Amino acid sequence: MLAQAVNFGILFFVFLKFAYRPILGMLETRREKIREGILMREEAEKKLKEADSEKGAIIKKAESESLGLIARAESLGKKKEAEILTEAVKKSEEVIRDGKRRVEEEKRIAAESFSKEAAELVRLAVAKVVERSPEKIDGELVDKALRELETV
Amino acid sequence: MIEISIAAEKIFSVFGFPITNTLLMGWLVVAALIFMSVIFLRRPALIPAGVQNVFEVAVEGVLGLMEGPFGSKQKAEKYFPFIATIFIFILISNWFGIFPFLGSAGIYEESHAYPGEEVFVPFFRSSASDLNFTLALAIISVFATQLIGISAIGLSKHIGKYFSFRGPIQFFVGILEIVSEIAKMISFSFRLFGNIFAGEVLLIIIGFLVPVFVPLPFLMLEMFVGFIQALVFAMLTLVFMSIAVVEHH
Repeated sequence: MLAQAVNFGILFFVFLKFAYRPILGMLETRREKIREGILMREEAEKKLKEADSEKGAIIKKAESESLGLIARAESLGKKKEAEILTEAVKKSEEVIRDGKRRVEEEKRIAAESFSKEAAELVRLAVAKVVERSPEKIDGELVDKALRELETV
Repeated sequence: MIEISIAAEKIFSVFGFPITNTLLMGWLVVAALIFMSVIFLRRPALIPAGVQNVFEVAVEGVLGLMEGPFGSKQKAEKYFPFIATIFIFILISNWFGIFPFLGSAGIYEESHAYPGEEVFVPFFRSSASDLNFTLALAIISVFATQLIGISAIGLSKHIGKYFSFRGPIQFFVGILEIVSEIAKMISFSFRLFGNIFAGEVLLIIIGFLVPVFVPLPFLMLEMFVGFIQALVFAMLTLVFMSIAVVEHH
């Protein structure tokens, strides 16, 4: 009977050291970890909600700011457009004016050249008619003829 | 020839101290349990696996069972090692006792009842089929209950449960309490011994009459009986302890 009681005692103390204490300790650690995990999850959920509401506010602010920016950009664009148009009109008018002036100049040069050539032609024609050397034909007479020709 | 002996058979003796086959079985069970606990449960992992899973399920189950009578988890965890050791020791002793190969190893000796005849004496016999084992556990259980009661509510209050001079009825109830403590030891030890010894006898007789197949259902029945008896012993100890740790009003 004593030997069996000793057996029980040995088993009790060995179990206490190698089985019950480690297992119960580990179960307590696990319970603690689970409790911590749940608390952390609740904290994280709270923070997530806060972050969500903050995100919403930031997005709202950004939206209103972006709308303002777009409106400002639109008005600036319109102003720029008007300026560019005015500038373009001014430039086109200048180009037209310049073109007209050049055309006039060309016309004048062409008329002058034509007149010179016509005078030479008339002198040659008159020389042919009167059979005289063209150098001896009176220039004044030619000019007169030319003037008459212009009036025609 | 088979001889059924109520007392455990002596196998050998050391310095005059008899070593019986039930004591050998007790040592075997203790060695096996120590080996298992050291190998599998020394460093339990936070994420359990294998044997640890099984043990944890058992621990949680027993703790849940103990929480009811004790009323709190802290108390249940405090007294858990004692109750669990009683349960495991009795359960494994009972189950080892019905392992066929353990019972078949033994020697032939001359019978004490029938001189001249040889009888088979197994080296290992279920510990609980020896009254020494069950009585030892019963005494340990009852004395541990007393010690736990004293440490929980104090010596004077605990003694007051047995020796009350507030009136003749209370005094008589106190004496009945003392008698019931002695009766607890007797009922604890004889209940377990009777059940396991009867199971052993039943298995021996069935095995002798029809050795093949027929003993199987009886083996299963004995496994169940072994479990139930371990549970009854542990549960009764638990209930007595839960009563001992609260004051009388």
